[in-house]
Amino acid sequence: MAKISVQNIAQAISDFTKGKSGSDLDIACKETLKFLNKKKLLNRSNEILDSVGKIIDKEDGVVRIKVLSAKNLDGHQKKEIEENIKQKYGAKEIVSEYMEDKELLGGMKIIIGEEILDTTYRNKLNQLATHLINK
Amino acid sequence: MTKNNIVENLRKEIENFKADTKAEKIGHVVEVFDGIAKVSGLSDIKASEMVTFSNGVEGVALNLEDDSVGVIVLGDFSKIREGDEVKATGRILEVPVSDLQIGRVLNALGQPIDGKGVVKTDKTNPVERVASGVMSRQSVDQPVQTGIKAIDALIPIGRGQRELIIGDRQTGKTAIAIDAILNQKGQNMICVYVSIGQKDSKLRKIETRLAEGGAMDYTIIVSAGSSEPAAMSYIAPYTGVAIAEHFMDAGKDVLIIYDDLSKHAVAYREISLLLRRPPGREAYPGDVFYLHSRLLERACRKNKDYGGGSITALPIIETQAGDISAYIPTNVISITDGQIFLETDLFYKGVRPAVNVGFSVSRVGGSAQIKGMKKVAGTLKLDLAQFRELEAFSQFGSDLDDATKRQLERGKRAVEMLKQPQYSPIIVEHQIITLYALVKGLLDEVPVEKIKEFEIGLIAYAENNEKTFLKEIREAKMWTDAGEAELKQAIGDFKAGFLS
Repeated sequence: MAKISVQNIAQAISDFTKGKSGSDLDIACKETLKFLNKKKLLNRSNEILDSVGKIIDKEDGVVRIKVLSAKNLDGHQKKEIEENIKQKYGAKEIVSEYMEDKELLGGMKIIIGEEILDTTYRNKLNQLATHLINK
Repeated sequence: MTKNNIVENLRKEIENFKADTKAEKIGHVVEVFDGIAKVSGLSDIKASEMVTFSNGVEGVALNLEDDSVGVIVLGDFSKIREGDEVKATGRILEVPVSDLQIGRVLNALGQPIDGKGVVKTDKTNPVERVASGVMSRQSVDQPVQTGIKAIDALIPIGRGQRELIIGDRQTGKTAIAIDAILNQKGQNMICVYVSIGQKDSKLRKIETRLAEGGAMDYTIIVSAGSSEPAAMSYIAPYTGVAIAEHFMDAGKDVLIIYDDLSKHAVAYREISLLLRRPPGREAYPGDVFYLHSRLLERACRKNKDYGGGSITALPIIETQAGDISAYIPTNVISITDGQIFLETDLFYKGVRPAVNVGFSVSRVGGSAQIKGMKKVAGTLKLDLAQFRELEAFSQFGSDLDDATKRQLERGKRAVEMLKQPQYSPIIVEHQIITLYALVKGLLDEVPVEKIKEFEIGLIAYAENNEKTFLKEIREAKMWTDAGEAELKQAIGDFKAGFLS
């Protein structure tokens, strides 16, 4: 029998619980838990839940971003970033997380799901180093 | 270059440099073990796409699974940690190629490892490329002169051919390959020597030997040493052929040696098992045939419309206790256009190169042999075949008729004549002269133990006195009746002096 992937299970859970609320959702969750226990998948529950989260985010048009910058950004800058990403990815909602990292020297690094946009000086210096070595 | 110059150059480079910023795909390392990394994310990655780990080490995505990607790490994997960022590059694995690589020692990624500085390249070739199609090819009709009599006469190799060198350990497989490289001087040939899983000391010895013989002027060495991860051994032959293709595309002839493909298969088996691909016979994965067939198929001779270049491949396979029916040897035998079979017994009997002429064949090289050589080799083959048959038979009794005795004596001289020390390739004209003397029976009176001495003397004598015959072979590749008569006379004269 072919192996069932985490994504398949996550998709099934998402479909199963979709549109349910109250006691129905409680029952659905219990059944899901029973299924995971029976299939001995509870040790991978974190992975599965992450996948379920991603599927629900995709359906709801939520885009999660992580912004790393050398200095803390002000409210105006944050808003501008979020607006830009909303447009580029056609998202309904942006859930963002901001972090400071002095190692980056300047500029910022934006992580959007599996994509990364790196405008930091650290990255530019690395690119320059590779360029000069290869020259 | 003065200090000011360096600063000025650096400033110019930095001013002209533009960092490009684009969205890149990333994933994260889930686990790392034995040179393999499992990476989550990277959902749009292509098979054989290059990835970069956060510490700069490169990798290749081999296994694309539902929720993870199996990556082989091309470099030091001890510094990769769980959770590290992995960037997809969008490029299929490629290596730098350039004419400047000639004379250099490169690693499996095409980077120099000989300490002679960087190789400036502006072109890259994909490591995996589909072999040339039918319409761009031409049949093999030009010889590769290896300078080894036994091979050039009996198992000739043509430009664009794939000829396997097979034998147990310590039978002189590498020696044949090195001799073939040494003999390419002035033959308009670029050589690529791919060393797979060899000891670094052996490679160093080979490099020194090639440099001494002046062969590094037209040779590139690609090395994946035994201390490097299996992934490097796996890609090294493809890197070698990618570099060879650069020269072939420019219309040049290339000789590539894979030393050896048994170790390559073992490296691929290791990677496949670690990637949890199902094992088959001898625990090799199911695609181990394709592994070698797609590599060797890239050796070819292109026709004039496509530049007329060629790649001649000499893969080497090491057998265990002479077992050529094991999995990898049979695979590669069936892929190649013939094999040179080396035997331990012959080697210890003093027949070196230890080529077993009976088991060795060249399926296409015959049509590439020059006319003069073809003429002498035909008779030689027959002499040797009859000798082998009679040799076993003659051990039972001493009462043999004259014809049989003559045949045996001729055979002994033929075997003696085909012996040749290492690193002493003989040019084809000289080979023809000595073999001519042999097959015409002109050596029958020379004692067997003096054959070597006679041969050396005859070559020197002919070089000084027999200009017509040599000139005819060099220019028209065949002798005329007049040339032949003169040669016969010269051999007779030399023999008279030699025996007296």
